Amino acid sequence: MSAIPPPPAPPTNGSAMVEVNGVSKVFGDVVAVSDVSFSVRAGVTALLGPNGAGKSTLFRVMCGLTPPTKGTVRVLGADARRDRNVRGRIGLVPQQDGLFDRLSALQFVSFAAATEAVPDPEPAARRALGLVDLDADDSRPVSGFSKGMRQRVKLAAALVHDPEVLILDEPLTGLDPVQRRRMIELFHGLGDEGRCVLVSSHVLEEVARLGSRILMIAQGRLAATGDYRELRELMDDRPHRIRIGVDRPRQFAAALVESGTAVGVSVGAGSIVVDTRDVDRLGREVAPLAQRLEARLSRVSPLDEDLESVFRYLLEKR
Amino acid sequence: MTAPQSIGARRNVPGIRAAVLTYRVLVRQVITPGKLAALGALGALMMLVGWLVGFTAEAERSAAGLLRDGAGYADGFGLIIIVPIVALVFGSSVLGETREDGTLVYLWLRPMGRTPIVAGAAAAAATAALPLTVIPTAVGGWLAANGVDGSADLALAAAAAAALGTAAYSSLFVLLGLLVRKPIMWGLGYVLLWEGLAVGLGDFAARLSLRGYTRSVLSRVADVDYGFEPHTTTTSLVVLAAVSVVGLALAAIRLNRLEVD
Amino acid sequence: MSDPVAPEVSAGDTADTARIIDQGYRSYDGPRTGLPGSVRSVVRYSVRHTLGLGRPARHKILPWLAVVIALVPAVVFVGLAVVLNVDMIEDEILPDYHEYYGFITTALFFYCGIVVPDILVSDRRNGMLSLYLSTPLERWSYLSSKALSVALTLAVLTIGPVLFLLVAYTIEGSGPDGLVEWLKILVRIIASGAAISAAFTAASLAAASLTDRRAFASVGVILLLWGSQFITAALVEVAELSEQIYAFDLGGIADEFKNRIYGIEGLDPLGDPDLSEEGEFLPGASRGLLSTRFVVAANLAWVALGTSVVWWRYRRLALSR
Repeated sequence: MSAIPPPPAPPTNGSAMVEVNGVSKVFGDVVAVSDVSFSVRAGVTALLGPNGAGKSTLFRVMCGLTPPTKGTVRVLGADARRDRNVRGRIGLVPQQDGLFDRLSALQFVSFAAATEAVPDPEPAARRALGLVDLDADDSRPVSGFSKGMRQRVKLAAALVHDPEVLILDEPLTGLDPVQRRRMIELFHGLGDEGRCVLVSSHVLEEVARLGSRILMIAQGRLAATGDYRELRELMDDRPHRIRIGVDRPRQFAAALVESGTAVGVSVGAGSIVVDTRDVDRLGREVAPLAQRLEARLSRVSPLDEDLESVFRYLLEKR
Repeated sequence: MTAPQSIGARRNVPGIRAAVLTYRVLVRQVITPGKLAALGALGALMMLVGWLVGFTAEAERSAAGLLRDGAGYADGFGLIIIVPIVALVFGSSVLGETREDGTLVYLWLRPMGRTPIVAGAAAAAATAALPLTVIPTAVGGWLAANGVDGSADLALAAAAAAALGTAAYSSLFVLLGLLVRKPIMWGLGYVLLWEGLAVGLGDFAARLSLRGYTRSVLSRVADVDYGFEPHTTTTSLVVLAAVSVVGLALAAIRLNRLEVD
Repeated sequence: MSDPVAPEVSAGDTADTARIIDQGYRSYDGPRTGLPGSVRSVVRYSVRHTLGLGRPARHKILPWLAVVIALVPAVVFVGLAVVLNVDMIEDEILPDYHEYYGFITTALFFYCGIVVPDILVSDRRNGMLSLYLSTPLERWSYLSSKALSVALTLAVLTIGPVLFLLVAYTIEGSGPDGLVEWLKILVRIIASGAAISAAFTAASLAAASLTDRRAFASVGVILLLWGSQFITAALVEVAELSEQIYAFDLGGIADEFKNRIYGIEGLDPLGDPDLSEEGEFLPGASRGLLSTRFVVAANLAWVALGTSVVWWRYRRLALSR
């Protein structure tokens, strides 16, 4: 997992900008999305799920591109499928790679600006291309662009009209690590400005960088919502796993088992890995125990507090 | 980026502006060198064969006979083959291809009405198709008539018939592009089976084909009788215009209900 | 693939019995059918794909529409023969066998234009061609398999309805007199169907080999079949150029070959070569004036041309995956 700690979740005291109520979407015999409900406020929220979980379908339903089979979706209080005005307040990066291939990046984004009723399309397009680190004066048609450049053109087109709700379907696909970092910073900046930024991904590392607030979808159903660190706390049927660096590992392990704090211990050279159901109690006991055994502690670190652990747990439950 | 200042603001693209924007982007997408070369070659072939037909006409052949040759040629090659095929290629792909390649979302998810989008798309298809249908049909007919008296009127009538036919077929095929995947297949089926075969089944079926009305325009405007009973000019014009308008209206409704990828 | 060593698990198995139930991927050690097996697979799959068998209903509509168009008139004629109970062919109320091909032409155009191109184009677009060529199939055997599958399905249109007429007329009592006559008609039906199928198969596969866009191939085939019919008619019947120009009318020259197989030669009795006074061209009115040798050569030339184009295209084709 990434060494970069996730930024704190933005304040959630605003009103919901996107509301999804009991939404299901069925294609023939396939249930793509099943009875999903949630609401999203300003800030960055990651929609996480494995491939084929229904993320793109859910985004399409939210944007009004396809009607839900059941349930309702409100974006800024309106149905994007029926309300023309609200469509102009959404910025979408679709999953499809298709662009109007004969246009240059500037022409494409200017076109996007004009169709979003931006008064001065070209300056707006130049600004948006600058945000995604693309040269507005590059006159090549976008058909000659790499996957990453095309992805950034799509992002610029989604940003060009200053939308209040950004729906970004796998926007980091094809970008190199530096570009990813830049785009993630951009998303956080947009979220901090009060926009609702919804980003889908199946790459855990990306989601961990995007922020701690997640919507997790699996097999078309909403599996979890909220801060994934809080979600970890809710996984009370699974012991927490903590690594303790100590110079007398065998004695330390035996003492923890004897006291009932540990439900399982594995001993290594210079460290032990402890499974416990009560992290607080373990925290309280470690230092006195070290003192009593005259052992030297080098580190205490959680091994399964990360997003991957939550993700695996929720998927294993299916 | 600045903080969003337009929360709650109405954003709307006026109808004409939406149609113009759609037209400008789609006309560039729909006209490709391959299509232009292939369909242009077809038109050139029509004019070449028309010239051969006119050039080899017997000296004692009457002007009326030559005009009938020219009209029959403009009808048989231009109105029956070139006009529907060219309109199909451009009409079905102008929105159909955006649907296939995922670019329709850049028109659909915008604060724009559906009717202007469809109108702009149809205008783009017609812009691409008209020169490739009108010029060969008019010039081919004129050449086949060997430039005799009345052949200028014939060329004009052929041009009018081809233009009206192209508009009507384009409108139908824009709709088709939004109704089915692989619209060219279905469109070819329609052109071959309905326009080519079913109209031979009787008067009622003939009234439901566009071909009967386009050739009627040619016959009536050029004042050439070439072996069928034409509809009146007014009937033909009204039907062709109505098909164009109704096709676009249905396409707008379909676009509004479409599930976009 | 079959698995010759897969162990069977019985209800009596317990955890005490050491058994490997699933080893995952293993190499195949069973019998191999080689090139004939590959050809058989490609033909079988292609025929099923073309006719939409085992695919959703929307894939069945177009191919079966062509079959219906070709077959419905035959069913109607047989129905009439039964209901009216007269010698239909003798009395010229119902079409003779060779006349029935007029009803098949549109179905053939439709099938060759709309259904056939997919048989080559889809393999190139979805990467199946590379997969096929990683089997014992080589380019020539792959193409032969594809051509065979097209010819077989086309035969459903060119032979099926006329064969149906023969059987139905025979049962109804309007069929050929005697076994020899009956066999003679049967041979003509099969030979004509095969000849028409060969020419149409070669031309439509040639068009399909030239573009990766199925729609373009379809438009090309339709223009070739439909346009050439009109252009040649204009040049021969109106401009009064040589009848040999009819060699460029694929549908027409194949139809003429069929006429010769049925022993029919000379001007079409319905045709009036001077129809230009009426302003309508009757395609092929004077096609019957061509010599049989020319008609056969023209048909062979179409087959050779189509085959050459396909081979030229596939020989140069670089496989990327």
